[in-house]
Amino acid sequence: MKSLLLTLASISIANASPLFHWTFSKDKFEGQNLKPSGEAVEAPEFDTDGHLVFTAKQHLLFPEEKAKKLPLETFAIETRVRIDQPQKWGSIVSYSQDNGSHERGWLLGYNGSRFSFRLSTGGPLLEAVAPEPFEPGHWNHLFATYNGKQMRLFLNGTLVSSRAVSGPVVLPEVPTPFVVGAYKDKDEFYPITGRIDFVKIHDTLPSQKELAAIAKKSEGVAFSVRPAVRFLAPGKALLFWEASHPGKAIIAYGPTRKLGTIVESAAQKLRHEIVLENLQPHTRYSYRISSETPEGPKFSPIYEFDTGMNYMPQTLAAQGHPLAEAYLKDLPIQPGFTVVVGLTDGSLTRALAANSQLNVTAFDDDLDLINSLRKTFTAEGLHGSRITLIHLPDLKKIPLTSCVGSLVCSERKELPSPSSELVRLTRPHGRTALPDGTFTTRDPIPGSGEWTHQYGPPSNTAYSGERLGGSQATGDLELQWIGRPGANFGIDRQPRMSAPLAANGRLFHQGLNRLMALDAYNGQILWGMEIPDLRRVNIPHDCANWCADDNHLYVAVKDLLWVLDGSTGKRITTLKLTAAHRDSHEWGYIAHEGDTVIGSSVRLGAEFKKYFGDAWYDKVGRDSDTANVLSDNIFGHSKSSWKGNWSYSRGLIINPTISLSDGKLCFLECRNPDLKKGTSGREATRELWKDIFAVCLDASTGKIIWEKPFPNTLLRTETKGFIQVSYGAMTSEGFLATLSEGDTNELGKPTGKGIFSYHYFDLADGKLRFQSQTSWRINHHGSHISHPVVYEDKVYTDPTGISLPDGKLLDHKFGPREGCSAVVGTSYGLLLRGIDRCLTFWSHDQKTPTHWPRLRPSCWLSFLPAQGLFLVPEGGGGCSCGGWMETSLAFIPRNNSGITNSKEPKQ
Amino acid sequence: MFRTSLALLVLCGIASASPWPTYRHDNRRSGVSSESLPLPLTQAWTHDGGPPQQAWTGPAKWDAYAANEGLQSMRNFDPCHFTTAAHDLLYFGSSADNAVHCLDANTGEEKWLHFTNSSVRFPPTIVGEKAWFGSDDGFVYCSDALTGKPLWKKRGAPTDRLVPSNGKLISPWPVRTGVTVENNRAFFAASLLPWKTSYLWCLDATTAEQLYLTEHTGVTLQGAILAGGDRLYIPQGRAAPVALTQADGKATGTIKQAGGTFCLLTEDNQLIAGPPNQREHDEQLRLADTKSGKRLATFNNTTRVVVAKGKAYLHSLDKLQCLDLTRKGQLETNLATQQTELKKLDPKVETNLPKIEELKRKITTTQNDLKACLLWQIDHPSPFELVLAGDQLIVGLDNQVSILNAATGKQLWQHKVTGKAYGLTPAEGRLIVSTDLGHIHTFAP
Repeated sequence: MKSLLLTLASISIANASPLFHWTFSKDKFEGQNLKPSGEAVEAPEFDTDGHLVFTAKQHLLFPEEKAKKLPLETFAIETRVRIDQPQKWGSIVSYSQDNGSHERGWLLGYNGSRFSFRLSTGGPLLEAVAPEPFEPGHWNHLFATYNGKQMRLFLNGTLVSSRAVSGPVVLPEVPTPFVVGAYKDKDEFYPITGRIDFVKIHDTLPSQKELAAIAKKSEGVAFSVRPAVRFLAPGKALLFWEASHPGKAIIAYGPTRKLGTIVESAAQKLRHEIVLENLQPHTRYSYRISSETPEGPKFSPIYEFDTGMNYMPQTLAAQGHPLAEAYLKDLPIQPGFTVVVGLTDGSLTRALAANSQLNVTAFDDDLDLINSLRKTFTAEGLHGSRITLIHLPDLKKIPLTSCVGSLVCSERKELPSPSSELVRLTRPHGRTALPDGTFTTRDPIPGSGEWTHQYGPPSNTAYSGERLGGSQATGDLELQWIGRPGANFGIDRQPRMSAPLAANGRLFHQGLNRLMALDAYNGQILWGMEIPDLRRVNIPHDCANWCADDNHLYVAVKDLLWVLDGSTGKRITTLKLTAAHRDSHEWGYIAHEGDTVIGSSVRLGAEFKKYFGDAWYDKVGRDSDTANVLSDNIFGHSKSSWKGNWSYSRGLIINPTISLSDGKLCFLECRNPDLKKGTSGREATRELWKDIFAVCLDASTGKIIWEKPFPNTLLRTETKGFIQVSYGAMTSEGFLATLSEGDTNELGKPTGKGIFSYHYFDLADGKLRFQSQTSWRINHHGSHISHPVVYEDKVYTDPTGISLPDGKLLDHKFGPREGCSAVVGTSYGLLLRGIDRCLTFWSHDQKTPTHWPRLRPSCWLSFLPAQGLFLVPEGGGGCSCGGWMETSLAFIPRNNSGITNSKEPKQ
Repeated sequence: MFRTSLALLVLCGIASASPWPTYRHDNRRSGVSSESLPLPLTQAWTHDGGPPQQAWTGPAKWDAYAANEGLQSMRNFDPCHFTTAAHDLLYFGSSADNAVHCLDANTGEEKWLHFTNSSVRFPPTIVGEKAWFGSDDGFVYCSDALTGKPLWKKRGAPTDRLVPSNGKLISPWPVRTGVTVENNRAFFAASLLPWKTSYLWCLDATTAEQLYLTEHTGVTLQGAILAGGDRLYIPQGRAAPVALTQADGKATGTIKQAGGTFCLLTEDNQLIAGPPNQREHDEQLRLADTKSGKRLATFNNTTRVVVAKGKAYLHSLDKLQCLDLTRKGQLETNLATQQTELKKLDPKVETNLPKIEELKRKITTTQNDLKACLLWQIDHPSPFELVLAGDQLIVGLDNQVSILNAATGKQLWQHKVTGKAYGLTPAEGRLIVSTDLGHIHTFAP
């Protein structure tokens, strides 16, 4: 088998000559001396590629006076490195002292298995750490930059970490080695194991274009559409991607990172599809794609997929059965639930399972018949997996919760229960098939809403109009289903990642580089896909990476928008960014309304990916984790043609403020030209809040309807205070910009106090109707970054809110709100993480909370009132404290649940 | 006729053979049988029960915030089709096809099966000629253990209501505790949702009459019920087990040092359970005093232990080992006391110094004595299950089962199996092994 080691050609920026440039290859050495001016401490040994071997005590020293002459406020350190052994205190190049509380200088290296850039401005060494571990034995390009305000770490051309710092680097006052290949100071020495191709130190910072070029070259295999794995059946999955050039591809995969199995894709076209078979269950597989290029083989990073997420049903040979075919005609055949009330011989039941992917549950009152068929189906390996037979003494009333079946029918010519009972068991949009040949489709549950975007509708109100059957307390809701996905699906507590979505009876949920579609009414998993490049976190400072409509799921993956068939997960098409941004940007905002799909372009690496360690994104004050992600442009595509219609590009659009309603697209935009020129696409600076405009576009044409200079903020001034977070939302009358403004003392440090300020613009003409404010309750656990719940007549942010359209302070509070999650609304209450940090229902009428013990949502938004249900896909897994239930489930209003016995126990 | 001949067989053939009548042998869930297996064993037959459909998925990949990787499942109570064995018959409950199966232990031929309306997660408890089992459908069943004839069933849930769960229908009050029969009383719980009332039932095991029914709030009772002394202990998975009095079913509190669904009571009714939580970076079992709730000992880097005659057999850091548990418990208690006393003494007070020095010496001695509690250890991969049969330690591994000499750790026998060997049943001269892929292997002389 060919070596799978990445063998990238050297890549470096082509800007002005660096201050220092050392290459650690055989031809640059004379004995132990490296040209220019370096010295290897040990006799150098070189590998077959001519690279100096760093192992044991080997490292190189350079004259200290050179380190002292380096710029202190604007510099960049560039290297290409292969680390073979992760270790604590790994250093590639450093000029640093770390002696207890006395820390000085700078260092580019790694800590454990994560690359790290550290520097001191007089205090402790501050660190920017890569969120993901590197792969030992593989080459990586690193760029560490400092501009006197921000330290940034770029891995293979992509920003992976940044941190706000101020002032010049303070160098060690004591003699200190200027060293490559080891951490070495007054009393510590940690040599590395691996290879260093080169080290350069620049007095200029790399441009976005240069970084993008590095990113492109670092990719190895060049994809035009990134790879993904979609599960097909037990033990079977489809790996698919599109290459940038036609040609053969090799896939190596296996249950460990040693891979093992090799398959070849001979596709001469760009699109590759490989069916992987005989996969072991409950196994995390690794895979790597390689392709032949004129420069030799190129390799992708090692990606993963987990067959523990494969819940696809066993497929059966189709059976000729006219009645089954009639019942299934025009029904989606993906997994779901079929209910059969009354059996004859089980043949219809079996044929329904065979001719679809539906799970069939049949009820009958004849125990002998049931047991006989159970034995038959068990012998075929079907009972309990594709078919379940349930004995009931009386079929008149089926003790099953309502709204379950995609198809509900009977094998008998005469129904054993009233037809209304079959209708009751049918899910909205599902089919009731009666023996007389009548088919009916069940209407949506009255008063049900759709949660198609991050905060419900694209207007970001966190309220979809869902009435939840008038429910006002937990006891008004009954369990509808419980089960997968579980805690192994997600990222630890889903750290402020995109919310689940619910549309057309489907529930979509994102996990750790994966997504899944479920039937909202019965929890059946419809399809699942593992997408290595899917992840986006820190949504309060950005926007979600997906949205849904009745037929499609729109998912932003790197620079493309994947349009997936909502019922099967098959990719229908991909949409591209506007031409000027395709090589340097990624897809940012995503929303749809009518025939329009809205997108935006954010700079490569600006989106947040980090989730390991302190990645809670709710610190008080401005730092790299609370920076806003910004779009360079916004544009519209047509759903009917999948073609671009318009684009708008002026300033920097603040992503969490973008909202869409009734053909109008509103947002806040920074028109500070200096910032636009110099930004990385993620900003925490005060400059972001200079020259701000509220803008309203026509969503179908991109033309400006109105634009207004943003008025003065209410707490922050030019010298004091800061904007913690900013949100946009729309009512039928106005655009509401809600800013969380924090206070600072005379030294510029946050006091811990702050306000939510509300700025309400008339949707017709942009006139400012009011400014208003409420105070922060607390400044942690997401309280001070609360997303508002916006009704037509009022707005809630923790712990109170204002009335609309006058902006007056409400006379009541809600809560208690505890823990990190967001708050959402129904017509009769608010849903939040509250009592004992459990999921809580706060009643508008009663102004009191009730809660579900041990039910923990995610650390942003993982619960949705939609589809007539309260949907709670698992989001809290990973929280190792507390006896949380760690399960997905859904509730249905008790008055829609089929419970007729008022004595049946409530909570 | 069948019953007569079987009874004769029992009397004549293997009257001295030891059955395995309930999950992990007895109500302490000890995993200890008194009789050794005759060696060598050969594979007599295998049965494919279909892949288990577990109630819960695996744990989260990590607590990324706390940089705590490798979290352990705390609800892994149904990883295979666990078996019980008596009357030369083998029994298992199936989470796959919803039935309790009874197989001829000699041939693997199916003797009878009893379907329920949902998954069965624990093997039936065999008491005399009765087989007791619970189901996710919210009912408890009792059948004739020899013929499978249904004797009666009892709804543990307050209603017939069913809801979808992982492609099946379950009661919101499934019976996921199995049935524990102690002193002719049958105990089981119907429970799932902490925001709903849970129910503990106690029936007369002869007449099936209700002796009491108690209601419990804020709990999720799942995992095999343990009985010891005058108490019951019911695991809760991700929360601490609940202790109740057998006499009236009233809860007396939780054993806060415990957690998970791997629970056993030692011979003196101390509770070993784990994992206690997911905060520990290493896999851990703890020994807790069931009266005081205090932790008596901690076993790090381990998930399974078996205890008999004061000795504990467990695996930790690539070593399988045997410890003098009685002495270890005493010494750890002493050590804790000594360390507490030492902390109380201010070293700046001169008069304390002799006492401090004495305590330090004692602590060193105790620590050395603790090391001597290790009776043997061998290099060994981490097991999925450990049980004892007489003087044999039986170890379930990935695609393998082994038998070791319990006194020395020397391997006596091994055989391949298909999948991870989570279930081990040494009974009536045979070894029955259940794996995570749903296979049941039976080995006999």
